[in-house]
Amino acid sequence: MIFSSLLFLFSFLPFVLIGNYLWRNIKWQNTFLFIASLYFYAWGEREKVFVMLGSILVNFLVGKWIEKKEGRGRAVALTVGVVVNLGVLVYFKYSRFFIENINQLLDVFNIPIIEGLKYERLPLGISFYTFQSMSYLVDVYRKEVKAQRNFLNLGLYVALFPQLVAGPIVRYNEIAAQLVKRTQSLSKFNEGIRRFVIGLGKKMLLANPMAYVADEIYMLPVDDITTPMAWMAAIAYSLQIYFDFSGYSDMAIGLGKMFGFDLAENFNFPYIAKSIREFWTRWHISLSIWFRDYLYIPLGGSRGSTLFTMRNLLIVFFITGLWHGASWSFIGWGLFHGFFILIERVGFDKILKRIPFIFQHIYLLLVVIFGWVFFRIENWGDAIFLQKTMLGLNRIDSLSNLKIIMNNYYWMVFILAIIFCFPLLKYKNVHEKIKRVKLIEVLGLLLIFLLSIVEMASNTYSPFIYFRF
Amino acid sequence: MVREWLNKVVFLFLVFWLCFSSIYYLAKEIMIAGKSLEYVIEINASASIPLQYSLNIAPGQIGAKISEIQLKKGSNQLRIPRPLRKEVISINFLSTQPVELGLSEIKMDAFFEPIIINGAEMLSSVKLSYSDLSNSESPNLVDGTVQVSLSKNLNTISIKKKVVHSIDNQLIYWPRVLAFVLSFVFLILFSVFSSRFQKVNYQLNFFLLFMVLISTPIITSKDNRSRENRELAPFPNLDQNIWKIPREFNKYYNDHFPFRNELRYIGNAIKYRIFNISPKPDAVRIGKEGWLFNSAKDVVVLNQGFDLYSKEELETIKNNLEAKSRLLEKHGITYYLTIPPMKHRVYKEYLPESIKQLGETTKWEQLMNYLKEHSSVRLIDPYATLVGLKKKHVVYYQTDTHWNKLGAFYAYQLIIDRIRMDFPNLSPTLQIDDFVVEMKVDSTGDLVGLIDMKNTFARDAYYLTSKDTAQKVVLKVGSKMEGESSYVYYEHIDKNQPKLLLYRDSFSEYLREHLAEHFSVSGIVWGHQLNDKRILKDKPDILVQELMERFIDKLLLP
Repeated sequence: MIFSSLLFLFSFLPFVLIGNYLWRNIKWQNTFLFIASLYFYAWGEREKVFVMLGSILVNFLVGKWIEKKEGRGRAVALTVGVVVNLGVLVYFKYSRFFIENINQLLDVFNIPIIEGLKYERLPLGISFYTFQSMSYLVDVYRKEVKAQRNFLNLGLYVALFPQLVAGPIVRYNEIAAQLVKRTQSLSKFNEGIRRFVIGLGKKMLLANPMAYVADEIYMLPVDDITTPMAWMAAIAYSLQIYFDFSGYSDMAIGLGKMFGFDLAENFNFPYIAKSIREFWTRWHISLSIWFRDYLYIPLGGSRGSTLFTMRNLLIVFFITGLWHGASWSFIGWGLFHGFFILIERVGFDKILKRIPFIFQHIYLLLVVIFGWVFFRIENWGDAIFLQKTMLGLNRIDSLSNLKIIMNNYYWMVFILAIIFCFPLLKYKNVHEKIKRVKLIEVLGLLLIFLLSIVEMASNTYSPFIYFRF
Repeated sequence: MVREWLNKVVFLFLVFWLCFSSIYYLAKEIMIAGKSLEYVIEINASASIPLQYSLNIAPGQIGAKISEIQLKKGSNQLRIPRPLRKEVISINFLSTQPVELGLSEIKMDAFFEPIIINGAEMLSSVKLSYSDLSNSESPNLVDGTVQVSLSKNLNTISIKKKVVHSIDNQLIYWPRVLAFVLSFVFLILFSVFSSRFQKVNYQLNFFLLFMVLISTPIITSKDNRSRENRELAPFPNLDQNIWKIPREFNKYYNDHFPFRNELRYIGNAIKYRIFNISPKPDAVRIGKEGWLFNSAKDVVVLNQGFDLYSKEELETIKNNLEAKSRLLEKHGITYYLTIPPMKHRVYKEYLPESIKQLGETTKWEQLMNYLKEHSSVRLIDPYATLVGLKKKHVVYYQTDTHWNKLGAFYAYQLIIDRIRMDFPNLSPTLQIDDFVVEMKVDSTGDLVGLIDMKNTFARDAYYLTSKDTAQKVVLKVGSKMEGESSYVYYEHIDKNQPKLLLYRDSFSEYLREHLAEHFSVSGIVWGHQLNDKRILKDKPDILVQELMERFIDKLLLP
């Protein structure tokens, strides 16, 4: 089930809300939400729910084990836990990718390749929940938190449906207290509604049309895509991925609030950043923090020589790329960002600070947009070809033009989406002012909600394409 | 003060909505449960005849079960059970014999009192149609009875939506009243006795509004109307692999979501009225002046002209066709090929910017020129004729992929004129003067159906009724062979004419009846792949292959 589906919004959500508030008792609510989350997950992922349940059970036991041990034993327990989690992740997500690469290597040396393996379907959200589980184990190891005594509570932490399939990645020490006691109030619930509706609107009204534009252009053969089309596609995709992902995070945070949870913010207007370094403090914040706390700092962070720091940064960005998907294009995208982080670290940031801020923005946007081309286009060669087209380095002899794709509807969404990349509502407290004029707030949200529903209902329309006779 | 009152009014409205919807929903479900509804129709017949009847249930003909009764002379009572939870679109009668029928009333037993629709209320909804698609007259009202005369061979009488829906509406009258009264009483009691009512504020209303919005679909009957020319997904079978149920339930839920059609109409209206774009751009695009165009991927690509035939491919098609023609010649069969151009070709001036031809030429143009210059195949190209005609008439439907009856008629003339060059003894080509031509405006069509925007777009529909009333051909259904979608044939009373075999697609729908006038037997195969078994069985003298431009690539295959 995804949040932007009729079934979730009009059937699952009302029943779960009512069920949750039938009895305002934390044990009931935790049990009910855990079962509802398993149901939510099993609805789309079928038997893969057992992978998640197994993972929760293992982490529950390992967590207790870590707590009991001291010294070396503690480190061994943690290592076992991390290896198991990574093993599950690698088995489901990366085995095909690794085997394919090994085979290519074997092929070079004329050694027979590995054949006949059956690969598992990727369980949805596995990257998110294994990362959450690992943060739990590490936090217990570091004695920042106590190991969870109640299986149900740990299960709820991992499986809580708002954040289960697409984040934000909740860290255990942030939420441990909320598993036992959380504030639920009408005003918090309403705050949740606002966040949810805005997230839904981002997804249905901005991200989806932009996805259509990007898909239509990228569907063409690369040498038919003209320079303006390549730019349009890259920008449309940048907008799509931002509004899709941040919309989903908004919905998750909003849903969390409806049940009394405070989940961490995940986006903070990333496209207004002035450097790649700043970008990563605004984009998918929960992932950046995770990597900072559980990978970069354990590696030694920036406490060593410059070369040492650079090595650490490259490792982090290599893994960041790989986390997004099992292919070289994601790794390439990660390293591309890593490269600019390095440049900024060795002194480019000082030059950046001296140039007018508009150029700082342009620099950031260029890097990010070109980066998304690597991210979106699976084939390495095609991605580079398109980037060259964007720079005007290819002579494109094409009959296609932007008019085929764009009409006034898509232009309008495009412009609106760009406008909404800026924190307009935060500017001079517009947001607070709107909230005070309640009628405007209600009507605005109602309009966003209805238009989103209209889009959702329209998407279910699939006429049988027929010949009349 | 004002704000306080406003909050209270909004609160009462929301609570009322919740109460009303739930009670109404429950009452309706209870009423339907265990009840069988039936239409009772009073029919007066002028003769004793068998009468077939059926209910037309959305979507289209799917679900129509045809039953038959023997009508006696004088008054008859017909009972037709109404299926529950389906949308009935019309009640249809079909008579194979000429008869005068009088419909005096339709009745249905409901909650407290029977619902009765009398003749006068029915009149505007009773429609008569003939199987040959010719124009029909309207029924008239005599002594409170709708009189229809079925004079031809196959006639259908339909009692349309207006009447059927009016019965449905009256059926839910009592549940609605009940729900209204109960909710009203509850509200009064609540507002007088509950202390919470005094504390109603904006926060509470905001919350309540959201809850009302997301729970209304739960307490609203499922929408079982289909607008998609397909059967809606059924409720999943629970007695199966449990992991398969969610996916099926999803489909069921989405297909039956309440207000689904209304929500889509809003979306369509916004997309069309404000942005002038199609709600389903991957199927239909909206051109200029209300002309709709098919925009399936293959059609768009064919029309853009990026993808062209190589010299070798043209040669292949030519060789294929000539080989086919020679082989048939050996069996004494003359082969003709006609390729109706797409609407995009004939009416290019109405195309929207997004699907215009961009290349200098198209596959179709390449092939036509190539075959005309280099090949001996008997090719009939209606393009020039259609373009010539469109100055005075409309030759394709605005709301449909296909040509209309007028366009088809002139294409028919071209085909028979061409065949008569080889078969001079063939009966002379019919002329437009042999027909009474009428034009009606309606709003059906395959394209307008795909975006479900009937009544927004209109088309010019021509009706050609032959002045010669003698019936010379009879249509019969034959058994189809492998690779054929359907096979029918016409038999002509004149047995001395040559035999025809027509390979067709949807463009031949209006051609086939005209063509059949010239041949003793006309076999009509729906399909593109010639089948030697069929040809050896039918032993035609003439084989016409009609293949619309969209399928032009099929000619690459032998």
